[in-house]
Amino acid sequence: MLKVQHIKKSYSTTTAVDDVSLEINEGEMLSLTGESGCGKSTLLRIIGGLEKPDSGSVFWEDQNISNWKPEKRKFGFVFQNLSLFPHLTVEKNVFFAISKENRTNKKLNELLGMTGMQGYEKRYPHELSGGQQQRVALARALAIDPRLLLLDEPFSSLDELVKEKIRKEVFDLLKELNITTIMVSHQAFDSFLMADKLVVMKEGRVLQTGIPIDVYQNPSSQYVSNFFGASVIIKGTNDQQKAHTSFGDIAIPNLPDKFSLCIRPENIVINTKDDYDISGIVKEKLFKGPHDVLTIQSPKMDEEFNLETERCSHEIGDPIFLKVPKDKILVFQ
Amino acid sequence: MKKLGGINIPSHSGWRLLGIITVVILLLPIWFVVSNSLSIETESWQQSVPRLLPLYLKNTSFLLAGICLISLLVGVSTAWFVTVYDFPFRKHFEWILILPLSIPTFINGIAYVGLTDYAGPIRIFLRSIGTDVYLDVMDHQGAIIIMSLVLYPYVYVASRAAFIMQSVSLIEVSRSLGQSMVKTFFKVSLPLSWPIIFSGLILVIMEVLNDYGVVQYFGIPTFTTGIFRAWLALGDLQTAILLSLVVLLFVLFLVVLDTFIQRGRKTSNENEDQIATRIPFQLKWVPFTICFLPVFFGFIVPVGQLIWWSILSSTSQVWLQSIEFMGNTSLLGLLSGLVVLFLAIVLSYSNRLTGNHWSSKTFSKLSMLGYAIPGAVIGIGIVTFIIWLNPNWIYSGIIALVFGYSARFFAVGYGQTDSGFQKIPSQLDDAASSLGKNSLTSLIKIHLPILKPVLIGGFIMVFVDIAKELPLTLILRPFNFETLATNAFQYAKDEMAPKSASSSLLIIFVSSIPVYFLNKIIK
Repeated sequence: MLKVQHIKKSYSTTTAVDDVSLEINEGEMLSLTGESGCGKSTLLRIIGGLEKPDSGSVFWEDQNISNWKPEKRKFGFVFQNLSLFPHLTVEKNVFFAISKENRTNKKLNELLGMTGMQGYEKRYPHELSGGQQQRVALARALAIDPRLLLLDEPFSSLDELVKEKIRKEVFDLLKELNITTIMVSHQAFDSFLMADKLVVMKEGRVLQTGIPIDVYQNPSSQYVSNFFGASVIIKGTNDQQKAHTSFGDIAIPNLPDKFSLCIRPENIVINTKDDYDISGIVKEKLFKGPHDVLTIQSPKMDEEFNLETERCSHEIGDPIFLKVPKDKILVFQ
Repeated sequence: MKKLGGINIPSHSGWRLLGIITVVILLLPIWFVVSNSLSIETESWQQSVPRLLPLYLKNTSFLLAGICLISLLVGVSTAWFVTVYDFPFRKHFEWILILPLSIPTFINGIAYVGLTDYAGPIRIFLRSIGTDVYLDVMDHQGAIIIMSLVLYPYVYVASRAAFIMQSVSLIEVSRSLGQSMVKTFFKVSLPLSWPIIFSGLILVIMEVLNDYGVVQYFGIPTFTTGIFRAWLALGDLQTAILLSLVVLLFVLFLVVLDTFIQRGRKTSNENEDQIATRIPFQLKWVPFTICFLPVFFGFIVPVGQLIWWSILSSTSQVWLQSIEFMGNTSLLGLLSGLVVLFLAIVLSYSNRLTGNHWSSKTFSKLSMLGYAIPGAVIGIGIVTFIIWLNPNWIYSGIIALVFGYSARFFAVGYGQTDSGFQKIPSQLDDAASSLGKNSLTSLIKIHLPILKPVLIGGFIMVFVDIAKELPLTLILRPFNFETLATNAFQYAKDEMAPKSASSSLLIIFVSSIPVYFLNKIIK
């Protein structure tokens, strides 16, 4: 449906988007993610027509719409900062772009019903909470029957507690309505909940594209791996097509000469001293609500690393024995 | 007073008293107009009101309507283009568009009359190509256009500030919802900015009410000319007071209306994201022309005419005279500027020390009323006051003038000073008093040095307003005492307009200085 080809955009000194191409199919939800400044928002604004690319094209159903004004594209936009029109009531905000004759009660009830905002028709934005404002903003974008919905950090201005709930509701609604959506988020885990496709960007370029779980389990680079959470780096050298580590050799097909190994901390298992790969000492222990976080120092590792565990009996100074499942080790060039 | 750990919290009653005295002094002229109007005999009402009021009312409202309309059209549209679109020289237009403000209305009137009369460049040119047209700008429409050309910047500055403050995502949302830029302007930006634009428009209205030069020169009887005629020509103080009262009531109505409009102001509660990328305008010379025309007709043309005149009439005597008048203007500006600053510091500091008592807040608001009141009304108030003091005193003089200027322009200096004081953290005062400094010492040693740039800025703005002032000066100046403004006006009235050019140019030069400050403030 939407195709983006070789988009480039730079501002006076920085390159915001550097030769990005991507595609999204009908009903899909695509999530653009990466650290702030990676160009994801600029890319979204280019798709929405709010920004003009230096080169490259945007296609909608094989029609080049690169030069279309935003008002012609019929793409709904929901912004990070809950930009409801402060001088209009909820009802007038939702009906902002709807012609007088199409402003029916049925339509209003439908839109507010979907977003759980029925009964708030006559309120002004400043009388609503952040979460409520975001619901109205969504209803307003849905009111025009958008061909594509663009969400720019839609949840980042909400409280942690509300965020989880609204995110779930919004995603469920968009799936139910089968609306094609592109969402930008700098928080990696915003994307995982329901996105069909995940695009990780860095410095204006796409690093990896795929189904969220695949990207998480098989990150293409150390950067992507780190972006989705801490990883423990393991030292290793190439020893006749085997990765030689301090706790044994690991057979890895097509192992390049230069590589790095790491493992997600949640895959490391605390074991007994009879069967372990790494031993170490608990340097610190932090109580973190439902679980504990242990900081471990091991002679086999370069750096101390953190391990999140269930409540455990290890205390500071205790020896600890860890098992590293070899099939969970990630290899990067 | 409460005792806190055995320490007496200072009551600062001395400062409070000083603050109250300041406000009372500043309100005296207005009070004298109001109180004297109560004692006017009914005979006088019956005589003057039916005869004069309808005419003054008709002319004043016609001028106001026309000038407001044009100022809104020009000020809002230029501000919109400069803020939202990208076009050639956009960045320079940001401040160039304010420049016409440096030309007092009456000087613009003089320049345009000179431009279009028989000896003016337009008709000289027409005759040189063998034709001639009779041009007359000295009527209602002419006055409307001439005043709008130099007053629209008030609306421009206000609109621009409003558009800048507005979150850009509101415009973007509207566009993404399928609304064109024109629709977005009328449905989103204009309604949201209206309260701020309106406060700019109020300044325009007050300038029109204050204007004496243009309407007198063009022979359009308005309230201001009526006040002058009644007092200076007929010596009829009662009618002058009566007319002043009508203007006063109208101004009060405007102030109340503005309070209501500001209260209805809806602001977006998010952290405002300002416009970063401006939309390229496809026909890029259209916005350029829209921004260039008001500057051309509101600044370049009149200043060009004045320069041409000053070259024509340039003799050492004319310039020597202008320098003498410059000295008089500077003397008045310096004295009044210092008085305003002194009173502003006293009032701000007294408010700071005595806290946010409702009475001090209301009081300081009242003290700013003078700025809204036409110079002629304040002039009449001071005349009445002096006659009340001693009927045998000569009411005109330097002291009377300084008093008048201070009452009228106090708000300009006070606004600056007070916002400066509010930026100084109150812990500084506590630190000073804990070190054993009394309030006066800490004012002199701590606050004033910090406030120096603010005070200088405020002084310059008061000075410039005084240099441009005409009606108040005409009423209260000592006999044979000429300022740049009165000199320029007098020459023009006596059909010797070219000789007024050097004085006019000096005023415009001085008045251009605050354009720099204004542009900085809205950024």
